Amino acid sequence: MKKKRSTRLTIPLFLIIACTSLIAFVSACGEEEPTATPVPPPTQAPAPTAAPAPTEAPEPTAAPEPAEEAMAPSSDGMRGGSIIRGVSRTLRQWDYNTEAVWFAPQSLQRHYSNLVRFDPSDGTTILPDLATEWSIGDDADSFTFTVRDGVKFHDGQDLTLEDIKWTFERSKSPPEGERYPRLLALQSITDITIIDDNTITIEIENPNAEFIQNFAAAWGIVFAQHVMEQEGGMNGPDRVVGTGPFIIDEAEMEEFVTSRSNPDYFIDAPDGDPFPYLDEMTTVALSDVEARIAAIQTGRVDISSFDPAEFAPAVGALNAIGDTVRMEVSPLAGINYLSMNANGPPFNDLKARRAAYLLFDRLRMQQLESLPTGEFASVPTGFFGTVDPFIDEIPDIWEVSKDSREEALAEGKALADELGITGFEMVVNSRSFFQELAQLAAQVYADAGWEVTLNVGDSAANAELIQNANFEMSMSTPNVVLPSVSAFLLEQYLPGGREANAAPPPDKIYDLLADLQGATDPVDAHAATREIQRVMREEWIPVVPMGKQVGSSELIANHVQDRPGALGQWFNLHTWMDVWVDDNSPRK
Amino acid sequence: MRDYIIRRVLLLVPNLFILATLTFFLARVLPGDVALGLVAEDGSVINQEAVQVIRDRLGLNDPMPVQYARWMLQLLQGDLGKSDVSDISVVKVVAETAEVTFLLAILSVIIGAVMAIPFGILSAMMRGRWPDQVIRTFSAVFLALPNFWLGILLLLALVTWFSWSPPIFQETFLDAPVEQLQRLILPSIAIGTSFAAVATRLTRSTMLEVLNQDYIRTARAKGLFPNRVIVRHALPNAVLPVITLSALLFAGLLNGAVVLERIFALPGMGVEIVTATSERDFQLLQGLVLVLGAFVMVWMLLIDLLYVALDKRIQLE
Repeated sequence: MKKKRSTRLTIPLFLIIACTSLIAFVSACGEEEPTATPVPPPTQAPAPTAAPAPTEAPEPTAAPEPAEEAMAPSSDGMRGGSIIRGVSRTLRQWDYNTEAVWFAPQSLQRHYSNLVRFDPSDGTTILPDLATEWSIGDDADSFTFTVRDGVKFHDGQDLTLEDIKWTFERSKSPPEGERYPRLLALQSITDITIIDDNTITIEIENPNAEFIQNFAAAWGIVFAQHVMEQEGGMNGPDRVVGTGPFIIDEAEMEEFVTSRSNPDYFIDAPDGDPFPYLDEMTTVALSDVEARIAAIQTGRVDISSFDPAEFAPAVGALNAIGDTVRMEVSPLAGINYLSMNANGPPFNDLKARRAAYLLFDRLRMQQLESLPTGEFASVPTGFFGTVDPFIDEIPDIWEVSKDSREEALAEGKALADELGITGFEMVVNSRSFFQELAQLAAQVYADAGWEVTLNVGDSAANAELIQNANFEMSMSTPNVVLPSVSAFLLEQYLPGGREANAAPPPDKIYDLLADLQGATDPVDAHAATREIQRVMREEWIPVVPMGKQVGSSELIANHVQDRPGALGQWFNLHTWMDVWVDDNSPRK
Repeated sequence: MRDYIIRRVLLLVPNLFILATLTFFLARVLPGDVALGLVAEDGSVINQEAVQVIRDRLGLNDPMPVQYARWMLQLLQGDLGKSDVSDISVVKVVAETAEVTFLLAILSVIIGAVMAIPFGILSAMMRGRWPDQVIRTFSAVFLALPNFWLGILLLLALVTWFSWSPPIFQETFLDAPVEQLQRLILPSIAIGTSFAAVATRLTRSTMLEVLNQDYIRTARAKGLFPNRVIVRHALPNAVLPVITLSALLFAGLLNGAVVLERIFALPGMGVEIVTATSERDFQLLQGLVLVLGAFVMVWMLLIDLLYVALDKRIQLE
């Protein structure tokens, strides 16, 4: 009897307490109506794994198109509304020139302008920005820009040529204690001269027609001198003052950046009013991939950005979410390659480097990197990634082609046997994607008879090993946005560049580089590039190219529109001025 | 009591000194430094010259004893320093992240306790019968489940079935209490459930022990209602170990439920510490660890005082 009575009395007590917690949870969840993701009109099928188009060779002296015409969308955008974009990280510093990674430009570049800019649809064509016209000196060592009148900074002050001069002098000679890792090339500026009210000339140390691309790159933005020279410098969002299509409104470091449209932006849309179409644009950090997928699925964000490392989950998410969201892929200029330490054995020997180069089967690597969908997640590359004008020819070159692969493998094995090399240790970043990639690379070498031991560490730990030349090989995945073959050579492979432990180049490389930089005719530039590649493959071999990830991907709600095909292209270099939302947007 | 509190507070000073010293030297055992973190990309160092300039600016090229002396001098002046990466003061970082961390810890403990105590009592009261079996089975299951996995499942379930996910913008609790609760509720349930799995078993076993005590038998023999026997006589003693466990969990959560903070994009202290470690932001790392150390020490003091208040048999001296 006693037992029964106590049970009767305990259960209600338990139920009361348990129900209280349940009610608290339900009420917390139910405060906000679930955001319905609007069903958009049918749109074109996504092409998540399409290989990027081959990069056109730059035309160094091409006459610029008028700005509005060059950037005109094929159809009128709709004005108003806002979008929220979820990214893995946002900024860590207000002056994004001070850091190397591209999280900061993703959130801040839309507030600034460059002298010239890349066309977002291909990432290589130069378009007008602050400068409406430009010319390259006969010796390819000076650039003259004609700058627009009447451009205003977000604080209402006029942009002057002094601001441009100050910006690039700062890049050339950073203040004490500062360095701008992505602006290394600008240190070769020798002189900046203001010619008249609208004309400025920038001279560089050595002839290089491709140098103009540095002014278009994400880090080559123009600052307001009067803001930057205020006490404290770039110490908060109120110092993010540019001339770009968006004005910073509210921001929290590492969390979000909200911007409103700049009504005085200097480039007009086809409807005659200034870009941008959107009233507001927000970038928010959602570090976890599942959180980003959930946010786009529930309409909390309109665009979710995914790194190459998150490509597979993004494809999976697309399949799960269905037709309210599409995917677009941004080609990356960067490549994955294996860095060899030429300051010590075994790769201080050209034969060992050649063995490593020949034993690495790039087509096999591509095959191993296939996505669950069966598509390839990477394309084989040479030393210059997508800026290589001959990237399409890579699968057909002797050491890569299926037809001659056996021969290349045999030569590689013979060299390895001669030197007695049976494998090596590879330094790898601890992030899971890089470990997976390294395991695939190890598999490729294992197929060729070499054993690879992986040494896994975080970015700073690996950088120390590499800086101290305390490694044999490392897997390098530079997501660099280097604009040209010459920039790749200078900033990656030649002494003073990133590959500090690469083998010193044969002297002829310098002559060929001078030929390339001085070439004003694309035919001459192509000839020089071909010869550089031959020398690199046969007489130098600074690295072993692995391949290039197809790109980072974006899941985009179908109510977000822009020029056809442009939204997913070169997203990290995008100022978002020609993006709009249609009437289905919950944020219209 | 007053002497005891003063003594414990004074003990904070050497404890914090030891913590600061350990943190300083242990952080530097890690390979690499913040300059490499800022300038390195995966597999290469972008600009060697920039590395040296940053090291000079931050004093990383100075001998370690000089860096240590500078850090100690800074602490003596009451300055926790600034982040080497973002140049934001450590105090500001703590102020911005503490709310999330504290609320997450408090909510998790409350949810865990709300589940554990009634389930533990029920399980003890119905020992050997089906509710007991069910509760013990579920507590074993939730004990085995990693809480971050449970968090992801909860998130995906709400997204799939209700098209709902937590708000993505961080606001203070005072400005937007509902939104903040919505952001915190899923990770709190995930942590609270794991905690409840342990606490339920603990409550059950202590309850069973207490229910067999003479004073409970006496209370029953005096004719008190069973409900009153449990609530007034058994529960206060049975719940003491759960309070201990909750206090320890709370202290642990102050250091951050890192994975759950990441999954739910909560800008808490745990994420800050992990980021500072991976970026080798020593100033921020040292400052955060020191502040958290102080929090935990004060918290443990409060728990000791709470014991005295709850159980008169416990003496501080």
